[in-house]
Formats: sequence, C-alpha cells, structure tokens
Amino acid sequence: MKQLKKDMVLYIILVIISLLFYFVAIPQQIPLRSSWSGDITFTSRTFPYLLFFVMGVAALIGIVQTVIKIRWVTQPEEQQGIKDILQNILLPVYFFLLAIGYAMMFDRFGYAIATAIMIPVYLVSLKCKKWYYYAITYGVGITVFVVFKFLLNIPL
Amino acid sequence: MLEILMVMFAPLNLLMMVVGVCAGIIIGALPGLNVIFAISVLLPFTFGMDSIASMYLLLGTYCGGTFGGSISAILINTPGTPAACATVFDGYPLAQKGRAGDALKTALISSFVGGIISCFALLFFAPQIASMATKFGAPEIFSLCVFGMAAAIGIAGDKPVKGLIMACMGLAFSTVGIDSSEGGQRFMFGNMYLLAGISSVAIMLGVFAMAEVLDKSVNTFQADEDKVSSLTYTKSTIKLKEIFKYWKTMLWSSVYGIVIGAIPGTGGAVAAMMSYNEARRKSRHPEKFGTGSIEGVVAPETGNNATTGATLIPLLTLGIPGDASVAVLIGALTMQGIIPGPSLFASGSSWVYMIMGGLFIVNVVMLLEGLFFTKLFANLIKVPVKILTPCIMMLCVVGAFSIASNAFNIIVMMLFGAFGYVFRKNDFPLAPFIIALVLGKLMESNLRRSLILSQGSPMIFVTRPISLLILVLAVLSLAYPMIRSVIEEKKHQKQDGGPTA
Repeated sequence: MKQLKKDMVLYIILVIISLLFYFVAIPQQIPLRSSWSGDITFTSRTFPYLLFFVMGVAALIGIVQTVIKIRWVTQPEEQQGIKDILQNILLPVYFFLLAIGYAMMFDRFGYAIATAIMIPVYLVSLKCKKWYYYAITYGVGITVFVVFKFLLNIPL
Repeated sequence: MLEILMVMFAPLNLLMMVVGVCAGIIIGALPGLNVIFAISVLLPFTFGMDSIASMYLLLGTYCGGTFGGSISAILINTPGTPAACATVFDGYPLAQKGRAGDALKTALISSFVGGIISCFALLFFAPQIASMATKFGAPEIFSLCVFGMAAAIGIAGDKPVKGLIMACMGLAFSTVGIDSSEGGQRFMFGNMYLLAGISSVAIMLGVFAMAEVLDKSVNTFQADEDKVSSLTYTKSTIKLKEIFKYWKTMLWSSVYGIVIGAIPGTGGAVAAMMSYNEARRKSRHPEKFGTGSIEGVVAPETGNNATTGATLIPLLTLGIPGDASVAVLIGALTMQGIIPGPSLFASGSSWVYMIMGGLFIVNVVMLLEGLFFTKLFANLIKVPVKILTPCIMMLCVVGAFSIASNAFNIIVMMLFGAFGYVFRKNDFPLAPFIIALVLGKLMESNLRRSLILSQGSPMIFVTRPISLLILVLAVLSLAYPMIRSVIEEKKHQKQDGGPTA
C-alpha cells in the first residue's frame, strides 16, 4: 500500500512535469526555425513534444493502474512512526548534501583538501569507529590522486 | 592480420585486459555493485588512453564482472550481479556442503566456455550483419532503436509503464544541446556547458555509481553493521572431466546466451535464468537442481557469459547496445570519437577486428586470473561497506571531473545520482533509461529522415518489409512479458481475491 501511494505521488509529479515541459519549457527553450525540408513539419520541437506527450500519457495510465490496485488492496497498511518517516527522507538528503559539499569543496580547494576533509566527515556519519578504516580510506584517496594526476594526467 | 595480432598482444593492451578483468571480478563479486557500475566507474580511466586499450580495459571489466557475480552468489547466497541470479540456486547449496571451491571452479570454467563460444559467434555473425546493415535505411534503423527500447522495457516485466516513462526520460535527456539538424538550442536554459548536451558518462556515473553510494550510505547508517557473513572458501577438488560431462548443457546455454545477448535491450540475467530453466527441464535428474547440482551452476554461468560477445554484435554492427552494460561502452566509444555501426566494418579498418580478437584473450585472462586468484577474490567480498562507500564517491567525483576537467559534470553526476536513487527506490527500471539515452540522437535523426523520405507519412515504417518485421519483433518483445505478467496476476487474484499491492 505504501509503495502504491509513493507510485501515485510520482506519477502525478510526472504528469505535471510533462505538462510543464509540453506547454512551457518546449516553446520557451526551443526556438522554431524555418525547416530546410520544405513542407515537412518535423522541427526541433517535434521529438520533444512526442516524448513528453507519451510520458504524460504513460504517467496517466500509471495513475489509473495505481488507483485500481489501491481499491483492491486488502492488507492493512503498516503504520510508520514519524521518526521512521523522517529517517527515510532526511537520511538520503543528508548524504546527498554531504556529497554536494564534497563537490563544492573539490571545485573550490581541489581534490586533496576536499578529500582530506570529506573522508572523516563521511566515516563519522556512517558511525565508523575503527581507526584503520580511516587509514585505508585515506590510502585509497592517495592512490586515486596518484593514478589520475600522474598516470592519466588529469589536473586535480 | 599480423598488425591485428601485434596490437592484441601489445604489453599495454594485455595489461589493460588483466587490470580490467581483475577490477571486474572484484566489483562483480561485491554484492550490490553490478557490471554497469563497474564499467561506469572505470570509464573515466580511459579518457587519456588509446581506443583499443580503453576498450580492452572495459571489456575485461565486462567479462570479469559477469563471472565475478558468481563468487558472492556461491559464498553468501546473494548474486553479486543480476547475471548471477540463477547461480545462487545450486551454487550456495554446493558451498553449504563444503564444496565452495568446486562451485567456483565450475562457474569459472563454464564462464570461460560461454565467453569463448560467444567470441566465435561475434567473429562469424558481426561481419555478416554489418554487410546487411549497410542496406538498412533510416526507417530500419529507427525501428531497430524502437526494438532495442521495447526489449529493455519488456524485460521490466510487470512494470511496462514505468519502463516506458524511463525510456521517454532517457530520450528527453538526449535532446539537450544543439539540434544537429536545425542548429537550434534545446533545453540549455542559458547554460553554455550544455552546448554539446549532457555528458552521458556523467549521467551513467550518477545513475549507477552515485545512486549506489547514496543507497549504501543510508542502509549502512540504518543497519549499523558492515560484516558480511560468508561461507568459507574451500580448495577445489573437482576435475575438469566432471564439469565437461555437461558439455551439451554448456552448448545449449551458450546458444541461449548468444541469442538473448544479440537481442538489443536484454542481458546476462535473462540468459542465465533461461539457461538454468532449460537445463533443469532437459535434465535426466531435475530433482537434483536446487540442491547443489554441478549442472545447476554450469548452465547459468555459461549462459550469462555467452552474452558478453553477443551483446557486441548489435553494438558494433548497428550502433545499438545489446544490453545496458554495453550501452555504457557507447559512452567510452563516443569519448574516443568512434561511432559504432556498419561503417566500422565498411571502412576497411582493422580496429573492429582488434576488438573482436581481443575478446578471446580477455576470456583467457579471466580464466587464468580466476584459477590463480579466486581465493583472494573470495576474501575481497568481505570488504566493509563503510570503507567502500567513500571510496566509490571519490572515484565518482574524480571520474566526473575528468570528463572535461570542470566541476559542472560533477554537479550533473550528483543530480543524476539523486535521480537514480529516487527512481530505483520506487522500482523504476534504469535499463530502458540508459538505452534510450544512448539511442536518442540516432533515433531522432532517423525518424526525421524517414519522415522526410515519406513526405511526412508514418506508414513508411510498416510498408518497408524489414522495418515492419523489426517493429513486429518490438511489439512481441514488449507484449509477451506483459501478457505473461497479466496471466500471473489473474492467477494471484483467483488465489487472493484481488490484485496485490
């Protein structure tokens, strides 16, 4: 039941995205030029219009399917505590923000400093207490640096 | 011929094969990390390399990873890759009986045989198909693209709507950038970094590798344990003749693997299951399957590795990936400036023959590494996830940066990591997305050409016999799994009184 509700939410979001792209983004983002192919009306917008139309229709079908399945569900839904719900949403967001933070530090300060800061923060977030985990991860970080900078000549 | 052999046996190229196979086996053996992930993560290493060396590295990863999944399937009852899903059924019971070494050796030999037979298939069929493909016009190529995506959506089984949505998203992302026909900008939102489109390598790194990092981080935090309980590796005592006793099973499984691998959009998992089911059906002792039968390991492992050469057939001859893993190889070829398709054969270049010949050596390298280092690989599956996740993240970020030495691709990779995580968690299949992404430009350009040829009439796709045949196959590959799942759903309804959630 929980998965069906999640599916419903996603399908609705996808319908909205399809409509937004179909009516707003495509006309704004894709300028129409006179086609070199004469009478043929296949322009830069044709394929995207087709895709978002199909996607919107598929999402609508998904909504209908989900509604039908929800009506037939007989198993009682397991009630989740607020703590579990928050954990399921906040945890992925937290780790995603950590990753974004690493990317921003990488851009600003370079690989070495960004990695030196990221490793302990990430391992502490994973509740890692063994010192040699930190040592091994730093070792891998140094190896990656050597391979990319000196063997592959990527300017880190 | 001499030139081809010299390139195949060049020291750097051999080294890349060894490194690729080793990395593939290790990553394939780690539960939760699959072949697509392995190829995505190693892809950035190829940017500074020669095209042959980079292909050998990635093909080594592909073949090694396909075999590597059997290690965790046998030792911890969890397939390391989807292609090893059927190896669990008899591999783990064998290990429980104290014959883990026998199971692993059987898996290795079977994988080698399947891989070599598929190399012969590739060598024989690819030039024939390429010469046929030169006669293909825009309608046929468009229909092939549709077939590729339909097969990938069909594999999603009971989720065709989700598969179709993902395919549409993949096609939509492929339209970003400059329209090659009219020169206009599409979905760039004023960002000049998107002039050449979104980097498919960054997308693949995000969707497969970064999404995995997020998933593993969340699971590790919640479970707060990272010990992998695995059965002990025991030295193998099985003789080769006991494995080759099932030579007929090996042959048939190879055939299934080659046929399934050559169909765009399918892959090793389907081949493994089909080979296992058929072997059990034809066996004189089907009751032994599932209890630790050697034949139960031979069939799926031969089948899944037989796809490795076969998936290259549509890739090299038509530019259409045989499965999602090979779709990532298209990213590597694009970075090297190589366009897969019939022109590879028509141009008279020996490049494609070097690749096909190199695959033979890759399989030999896999056999040798497996024979000497299986115990080491078996121990590596115990690497704690807490070490693995930050290491993978480092590789993802550095890999994304390496694409164009700018941070924009890192942001793209991160965003697609979140995208991949959200959709995977909600059971949306990613294979149609990635196949559609790599086929998008080819599909649109051939659709446009076809409609110009036919003065705007879509009937061109059904009035040309080859195009019609391919579209019929596409409909069948889409409809058959759906019909099968509807029949199974109705059976469920009769038993439970309503559709299941």
